[in-house]
Amino acid sequence: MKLFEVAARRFSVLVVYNEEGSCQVMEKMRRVRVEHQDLAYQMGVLLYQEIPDRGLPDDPRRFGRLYDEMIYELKALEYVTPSERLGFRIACFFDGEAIVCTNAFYKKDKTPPDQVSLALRERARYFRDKDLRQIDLISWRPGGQEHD
Amino acid sequence: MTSRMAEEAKDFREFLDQLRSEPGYWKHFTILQFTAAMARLMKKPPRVSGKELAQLLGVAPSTVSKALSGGENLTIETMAKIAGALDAAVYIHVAKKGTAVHWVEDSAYSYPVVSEARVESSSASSGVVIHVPLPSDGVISKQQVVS
Repeated sequence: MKLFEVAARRFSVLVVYNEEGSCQVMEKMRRVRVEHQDLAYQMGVLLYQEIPDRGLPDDPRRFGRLYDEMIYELKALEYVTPSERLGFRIACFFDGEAIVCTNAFYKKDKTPPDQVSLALRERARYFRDKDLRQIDLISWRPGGQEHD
Repeated sequence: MTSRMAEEAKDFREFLDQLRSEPGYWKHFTILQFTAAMARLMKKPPRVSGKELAQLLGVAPSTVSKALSGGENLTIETMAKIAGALDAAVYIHVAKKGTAVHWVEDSAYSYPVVSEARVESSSASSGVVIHVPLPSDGVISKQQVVS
């Protein structure tokens, strides 16, 4: 499995590439930035500032459990109108000090069930590939270079 | 790693760099500092729920929820009111982007603060103010302050 390292300070934030070799989180973040810029900013701050420095937010408005003790979600929220809310979520799981992000999606009322299944599949694939020592990390250091 | 993946990673790195170069990103960075600090404060004993905080502020629970959701551009007045309801204040530190900033709450240097509610009910003329002329060099030494 290929992983992209968004940040690695006290905690690491990683995003997965799927089996087809594309990164759904990256693609979704790009689209969200065009459609709802504030949601992209909020999530960017969580992924690049808050979590790497302070760990997961102890705030149910920013972080919560999505499925059992296996899949969690990072949360961003925008008021599209004074009463209408739109959520942007990134499903993730933990591996030690690393937070591994699997997929991103909009959430209006309920979580789309296919997003939970997708997160569970990617989690299983991650731990399988980790056991097989087939994890390839593409890291990012400001001013540095990624490696393969 | 395929060249397409390397290209995608490079693009995403640039995308994040670009996000971080925009004022909107740093606005949400600041909002998150506040909402995360409030969430931590509300969990400290005595724990205060969102509903109780709304009661203290005299507003609807949905108003508090909206303000702490991160989806709203909070004014300084709103932040001060929300923090003030828990007998807290908003402290601000400005540093270069990317600096690791650690706040220390030092009770050894704390001083008593009269809450707004108590000020309203007390006599405003009970305090004594002493005016001391500024030294000619404009520097106030510790000795002069004490004397």
